[in-house]
Amino acid sequence: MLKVKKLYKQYIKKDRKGKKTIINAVDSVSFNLEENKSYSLVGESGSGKSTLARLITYIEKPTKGKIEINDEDLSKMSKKILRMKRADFQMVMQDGQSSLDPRIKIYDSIAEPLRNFKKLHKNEEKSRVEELMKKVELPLELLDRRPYELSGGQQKRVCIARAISVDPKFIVFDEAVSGLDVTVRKKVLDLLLKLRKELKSSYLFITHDIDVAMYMSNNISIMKSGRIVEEIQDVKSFNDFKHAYSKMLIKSLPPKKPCREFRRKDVNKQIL
Amino acid sequence: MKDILTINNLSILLRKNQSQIVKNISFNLEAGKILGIIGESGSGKTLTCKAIMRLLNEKKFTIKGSIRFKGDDLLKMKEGQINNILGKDISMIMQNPMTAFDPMMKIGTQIVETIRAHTRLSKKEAYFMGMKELKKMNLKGVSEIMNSYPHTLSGGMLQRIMISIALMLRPSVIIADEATTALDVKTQSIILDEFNKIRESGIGLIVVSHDFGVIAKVADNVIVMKDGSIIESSSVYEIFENPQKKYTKELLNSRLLIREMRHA
Ligand SMILES: Nc1ncnc2c1ncn2[C@@H]1O[C@H](COP(=O)(O)OP(=O)(O)OP(=O)(O)O)[C@@H](O)[C@H]1O
Ligand SMILES: Nc1ncnc2c1ncn2[C@@H]1O[C@H](COP(=O)(O)OP(=O)(O)OP(=O)(O)O)[C@@H](O)[C@H]1O
Ligand SMILES: [Mg+2]
Ligand SMILES: [Mg+2]
Repeated sequence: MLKVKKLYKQYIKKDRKGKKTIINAVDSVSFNLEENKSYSLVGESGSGKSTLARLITYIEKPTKGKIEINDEDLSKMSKKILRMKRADFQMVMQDGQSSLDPRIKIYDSIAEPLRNFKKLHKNEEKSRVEELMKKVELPLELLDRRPYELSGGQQKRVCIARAISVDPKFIVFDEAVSGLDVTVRKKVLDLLLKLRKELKSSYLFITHDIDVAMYMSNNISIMKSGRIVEEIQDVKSFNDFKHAYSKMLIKSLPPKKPCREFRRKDVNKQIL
Repeated sequence: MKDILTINNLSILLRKNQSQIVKNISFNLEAGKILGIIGESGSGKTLTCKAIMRLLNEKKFTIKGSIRFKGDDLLKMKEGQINNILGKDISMIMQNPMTAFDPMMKIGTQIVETIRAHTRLSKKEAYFMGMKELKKMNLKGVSEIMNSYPHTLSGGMLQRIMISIALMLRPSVIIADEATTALDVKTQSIILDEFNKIRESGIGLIVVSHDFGVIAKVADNVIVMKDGSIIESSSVYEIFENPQKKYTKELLNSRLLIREMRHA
């Protein structure tokens, strides 16, 4: 469904004296995402995960490389076709608050993609919006508010509701559940798993939480410094992580229970 | 140990309809201890932290009760007095890194301004102090970062910069609201070690987190919030091993995602 070949994204940074450095935010990344499958991406902070997400949802253009959707080259598509394709490709951005328009009410934020891509009557629209709110465990009274009048986790769920509203074929979730309490998180993850099954869609789940990554998919990619350093298919346990960086991540997992040793800086053993 | 922060019967109401968001909560923070706050999304954790920082708009919210810092009620202090304390003696790491920075100002300038508002350092000294502190956060390319605008940095980079700014002036109280949510586990572990280290130096921290791993690693005491109230409060060991309330048990049970249930 989505093919990425030798994708690059470079940014130029300057220090105070004007000396330039090139940042290879995405550095020769290739992969195929198939229809009706779920993928997880974990990696170092600043390794290019969000940049990669913006490239494949064509929010940003790559410096070099090719992106194909169902064998069609993305860079050759007209603006009009790209806009139509938007309905099939949704993204939940990492920063909940700044991806919602502060001027418009939550109701309209959620209804917006529906208005763009599905022609619904006012009543249908209303019941669809309310149904989405219930699905992501939010009280309807929030519909009248603006984004900054919601808690962090409530904003995140509004973004999820928006993304799933138009039944897209492909959704990128960038740290979409990281501000949610664990009970709500589990409900939302299970909802997403169920929806994916029903709609036979594909997910790319970007998360720093390895448990979440493994819960959502058994295809896990690990990213570091712009590159995918390891791709594991059919992950069963932590033993399947082979790359040195992946192993180090597993070793750095926080403890499952409080224990004195962990609080001392020099002790770094994982106690399960 | 000595309490540095004592919150008594704190309530936060919306002026518009007098609906009560935070309901009569009391807790205290000891010097050299880390207090973990966990709880339902939307239960009032962030508003409580913002009330301590006097960041809530008084036209919008009614705040009742008292928040004593080393004995003095922050809620009764005049503007000038409070400005001397906030940022310097009490600092907060905000939940939304992107919106917490001024989008029009380079990171270096924001850091220099924060440092100079509370010290007598020159611009240059403040700049180098900022660079030195940023390096402790496992950030690479610090001189380029200082020269960058916020939107050109990743979510986790911004979080680390904000943590660094909060620690920079060695305050006596640090409030961290979901401060490590976008960090890979290795970087998170480095930051949490840093929290444990500054705790040793006698600073009190409030760590709000949904991540039980984070709480297990740093918290001494934990309060659990639900629907605006504190429903349970005890030592971190008690919370994990002997939770009293149904909701706390429910949280503990859903924290581990059981992999067999996966539908992948
Ligand atoms: N618009 C931009 N202009 C310049 N540099 C950018 C821009 N966006 C991202 N970068 C740089 O690209 C690199 C990768 O950033 P990205 O946001 O993709 O990381 P990430 O893996 O999502 O990190 P995190 O886990 O912290 O969110 C960083 O060094 C960042 O500073
Ligand atoms: N400016 C506001 N106006 C009206 N209601 C608000 C405002 N800010 C927050 N609220 C409401 O107050 C409640 C508490 O919000 P708060 O941000 O403190 O939650 P939280 O415990 O930090 O949640 P999360 O874990 O999701 O960040 C929420 O239900 C929220 O919708
Ligand atoms: Mg990111
Ligand atoms: Mg919050």
